[in-house]
Amino acid sequence: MVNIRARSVGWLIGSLMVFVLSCPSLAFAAEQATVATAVKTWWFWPVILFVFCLVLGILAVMAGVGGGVLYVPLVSGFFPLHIDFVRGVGLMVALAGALAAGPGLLRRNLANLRLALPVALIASTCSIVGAMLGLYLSSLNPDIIQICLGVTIVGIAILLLVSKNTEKPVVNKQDAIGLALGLRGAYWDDGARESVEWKTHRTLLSLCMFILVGLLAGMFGLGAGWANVPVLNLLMGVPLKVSVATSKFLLSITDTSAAWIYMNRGCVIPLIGVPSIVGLMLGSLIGVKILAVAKPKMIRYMVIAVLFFAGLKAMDKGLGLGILE
Amino acid sequence: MKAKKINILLVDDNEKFLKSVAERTRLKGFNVFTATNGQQALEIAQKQHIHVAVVDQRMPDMEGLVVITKLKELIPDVKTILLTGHGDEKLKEASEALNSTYFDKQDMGRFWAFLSNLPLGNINILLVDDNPKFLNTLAERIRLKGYEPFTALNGHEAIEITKTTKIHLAVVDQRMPDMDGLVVITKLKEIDADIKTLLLTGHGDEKLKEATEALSSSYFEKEDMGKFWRFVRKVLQSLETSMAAAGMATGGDLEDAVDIESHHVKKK
Repeated sequence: MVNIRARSVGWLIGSLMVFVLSCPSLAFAAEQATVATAVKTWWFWPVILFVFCLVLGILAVMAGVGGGVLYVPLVSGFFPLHIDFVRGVGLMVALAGALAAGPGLLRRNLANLRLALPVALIASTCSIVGAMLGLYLSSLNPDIIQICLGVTIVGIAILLLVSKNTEKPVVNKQDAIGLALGLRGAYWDDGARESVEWKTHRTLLSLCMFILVGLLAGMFGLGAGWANVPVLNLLMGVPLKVSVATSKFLLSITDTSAAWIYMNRGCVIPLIGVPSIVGLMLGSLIGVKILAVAKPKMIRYMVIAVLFFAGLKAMDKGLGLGILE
Repeated sequence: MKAKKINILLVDDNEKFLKSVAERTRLKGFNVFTATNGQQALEIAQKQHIHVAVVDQRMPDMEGLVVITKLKELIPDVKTILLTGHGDEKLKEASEALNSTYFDKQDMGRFWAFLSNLPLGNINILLVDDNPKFLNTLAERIRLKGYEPFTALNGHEAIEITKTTKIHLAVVDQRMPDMDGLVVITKLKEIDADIKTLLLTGHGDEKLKEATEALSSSYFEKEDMGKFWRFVRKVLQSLETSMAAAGMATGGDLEDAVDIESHHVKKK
């Protein structure tokens, strides 16, 4: 019974995905037609963007991939929008998701403030540098950003495919920096009916990794959950539950810093931002409801494949090869 | 008010959990007895007069509901609470059918609030309002909380009752035909200085509030927006939970996302 339900949800999501990818191209075709007759309404692209983001929100939740990671490559690849605007709104999208999730995760004692704050200090500083660097490179030539984005997206797709997070990593001895910063905690595991205590190791190396994570998050407006979780979980040895929740909380600080730079340069356009954020938020709510009923695994693989394709398309666009046009 | 100590029996097979709950309950001023299984709990109940029993549902020797049934046979007036980490709607109904309170381990805040509100002995409450319908509703609600209130339809009746009976708390309406609520409160305090008073009004203003507070009495408006705000709070909580679940899902932790969301749906 569950299998049948999962399969039918799978088919539904498959169709949604086909719809997502065909949505902008259909719209583009419609736009060509409307341009020919010189009739074009201002709400045309916002409506298409809203529907696109609604479906994207559902897929993001079901695939376990951040909204920002999907938004930037797909919207910049399939919509006729400048990459700077997409990156600016991408940060806002990731920020909105993080801010909405933050209070619930803190209230459940899943997000850890002690762990988040030193990491946030490093990552948010670097995300400002990343945002400035990204806009500078884009002003030199937007193709440079397209190529770098393509390479990063392909990297993320591979990371999502191969990285296997550990629910409760074993940390035998906490290192000196982790001890000094008090990076330890406990949470109640309802499944095992026990209080799980955790501490960190390889703290210095992990903090250094967050320099890179912050730079990438700011540069491409991707959010950074895809990088935060593996560093916290696999490198520092923080349990998966705490890593994911803390990473979400972390994003609300990191992305805010970078978002200021984009806003200051006029890269956040409400006509793109509002339908995107509202669409993704509503999509996430619907996605969670579907997820509670069935969670077909193939969605994740399909989304990774789409991400891979979007990464290659961004590289193709940047290099001007025209293979995937 | 009599300071009578309440005996609480805590029953849970998880010793770590049991110890931490017991410590916190003791800090609240209760006498605490602990048992790690149903049999042990019943043995304690045979020897001690237990007022409140907090029982875990899943235990190796017998289920929490069975323990509650047996405890009620031994001590009919015992207040029982089923505490479970794996609750569902059916279990909740079954527990309520046994006239037992139900709490989820995920939501210990409600459990502690319940313990803090346990009556510590007999308290006499006097309700004064000229509107018989409102008076009856209020009395009914207070009866549901386990108290038997005295009622008076005017100030004179209230004063007569206070002269003959030791009243701990008086809830007084402001507008009454024979005398104002504030006058009633002043007279009641003259009879018994220890009496705690509370002014209820549908026509409140800042001055009235100040006057009430000057008499070291509490002040409440009848027409509060409780229902509306409860509804808003519920919608906001539901949204917050779903977004927290979405946050966990997009971070790659689908299992916990489903846990957070489905737990919330169950609670509703």
